[in-house]
Amino acid sequence: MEKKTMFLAIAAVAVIIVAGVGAALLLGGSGSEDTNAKIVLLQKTSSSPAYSPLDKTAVYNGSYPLSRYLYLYTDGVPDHASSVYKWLSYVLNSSTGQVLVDDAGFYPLQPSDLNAMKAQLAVSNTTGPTGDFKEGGSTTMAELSNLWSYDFKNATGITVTISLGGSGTGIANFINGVVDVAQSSRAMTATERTQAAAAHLNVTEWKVAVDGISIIVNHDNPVKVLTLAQLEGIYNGTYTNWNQVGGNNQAITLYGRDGASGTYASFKDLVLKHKDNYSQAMLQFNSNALIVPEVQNNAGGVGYVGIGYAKEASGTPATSGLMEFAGLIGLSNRW
Amino acid sequence: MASKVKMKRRFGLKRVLESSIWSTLLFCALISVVVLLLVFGYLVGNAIPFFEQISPIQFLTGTNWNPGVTPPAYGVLPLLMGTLLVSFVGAVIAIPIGLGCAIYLTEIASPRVRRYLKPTIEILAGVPSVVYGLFAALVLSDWLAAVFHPISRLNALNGALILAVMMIPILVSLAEEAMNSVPKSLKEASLALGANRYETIRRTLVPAALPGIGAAIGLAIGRAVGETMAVIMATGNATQFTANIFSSVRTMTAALAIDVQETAVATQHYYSLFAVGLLLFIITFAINLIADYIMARFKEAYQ
Repeated sequence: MEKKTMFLAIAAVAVIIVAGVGAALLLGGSGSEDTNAKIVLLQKTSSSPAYSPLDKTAVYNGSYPLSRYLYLYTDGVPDHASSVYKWLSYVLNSSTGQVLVDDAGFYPLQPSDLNAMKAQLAVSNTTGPTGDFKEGGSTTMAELSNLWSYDFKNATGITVTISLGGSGTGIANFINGVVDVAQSSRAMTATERTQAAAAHLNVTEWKVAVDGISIIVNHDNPVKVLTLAQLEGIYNGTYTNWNQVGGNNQAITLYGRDGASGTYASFKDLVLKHKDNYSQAMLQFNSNALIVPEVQNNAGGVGYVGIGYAKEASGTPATSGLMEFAGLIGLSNRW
Repeated sequence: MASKVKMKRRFGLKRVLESSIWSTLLFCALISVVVLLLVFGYLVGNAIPFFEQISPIQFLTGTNWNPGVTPPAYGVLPLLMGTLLVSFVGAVIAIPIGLGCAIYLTEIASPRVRRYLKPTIEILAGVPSVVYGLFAALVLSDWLAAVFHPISRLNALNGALILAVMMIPILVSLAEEAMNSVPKSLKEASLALGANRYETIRRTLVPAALPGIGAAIGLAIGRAVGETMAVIMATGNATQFTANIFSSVRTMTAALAIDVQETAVATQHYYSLFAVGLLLFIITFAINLIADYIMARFKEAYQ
């Protein structure tokens, strides 16, 4: 075909795409301002007090039922010359790494945990990589580790490349030597530790932040409090309508993570204690950021996300736009 | 002297060069066949350990796909239904539109319109699937939600629509080529016998081009069945067994892409993925065979 025709055709397609995206952003963007999701308060039984994940004390002392740690895993405790050592001391420092934990919307480690980790860091038992290294895993920690890595690079010049794919993928990559450090929103299982030992890795666990898995529902849903038993019933498919747990007559639409996710596993351990299967009707996503717009747009929607994402979804300022961007990066990094 | 000339002809440089070129080309042709056989062999080889533990009947008729729990459930029907829903509903939407567009381009459009429209459609075929997936997840699902109020915003219809959009350029290109290759004498004869343009198109040209159109449809459906990225983002990936087009489904391709990341090598879950892959391979192969058969039959009738 002639050059002129080709250019005209490309221009036509480009105009269509830009117009379409622009229209979608304009129409879609204005819509999502008014339809923030709501965070649900949780209570252990119907007679105990209900706590919100935004309540720092409740998350720290475990009164909020879905509190969990966020972890990093390395091969042994590296010595002072190693860049992994510098990374860990940066992360575990209350004036550098732990401040960014706050920015990302999570909770910094309590002083007792922080001191325990620092004590672990003091006794090195291996040499680690010097220079740039790779970290990968949890998408819950996506924004946090990106913030750390950016600041760390400015401070020391060392580049830490973050890849995502979920905690399970990160741990598998750590065992296979694809990444040097795994970031995970759940603890390593016994099977994974055995596999790591077989790969001659001295698995060392580092707690780096505290998260409260938050339950979000649609703006128009009147339900404010749920017991753990009700939450379990919702997620294992026993309840299918909101009027069974004190809401309107609206079918429940479940949103959750997929099998590679640490949040999927943590939630299962913390909530689905009796019939340990998620409902088959649950829509599964590969990152926290994708769950939020679904709950915001679906009247019967309920989802579980890390607290940073819940804060942003409910309009409480965390570091807004970066969350969705981190989610989209997660999507493109995976494939 | 004469024998020396004869030897030069039999073993000369030109002769050797020529036969080495033929051998290289034969080698290239064989590579594609060999690679296909190797892929098939690898699939079967890794699916056998799975079928030793789980019977094929249980695999093919189970309605529960849940390999992550204990005891694991390996019924492929939910995934199969997901693939069928999105691909065939997508085909039902795409085929009339694609064929209509092809007929318009070959028979009705003026040369100027054709010059600009055809390259535009062909460029649409080059848009990456992930872009289509993003569009389906963020924009198309909102439009569908506004019109149909489905149970879940990401559903099979969303996947079917975006697959239809991806199938249309393929259909248009191939069908248009098929219709262009119908001999002009056929069209002229039909018009001379008194048929108007619509009757000519409907009763002479389209039936004559049917082998090519059948191939186009087969190829488009094959692509739809194998599409992974767009459906992962568009359908919500719930593992339920349902025929409701407004609920979330998981296709076989999506199940493979999601589970392959964190499955440990040489476990039952790992081998089950190969079983799903084998089923997908067989389905695509069957679709191609059927398209070929239809092509052959109609070729006899009309040419």
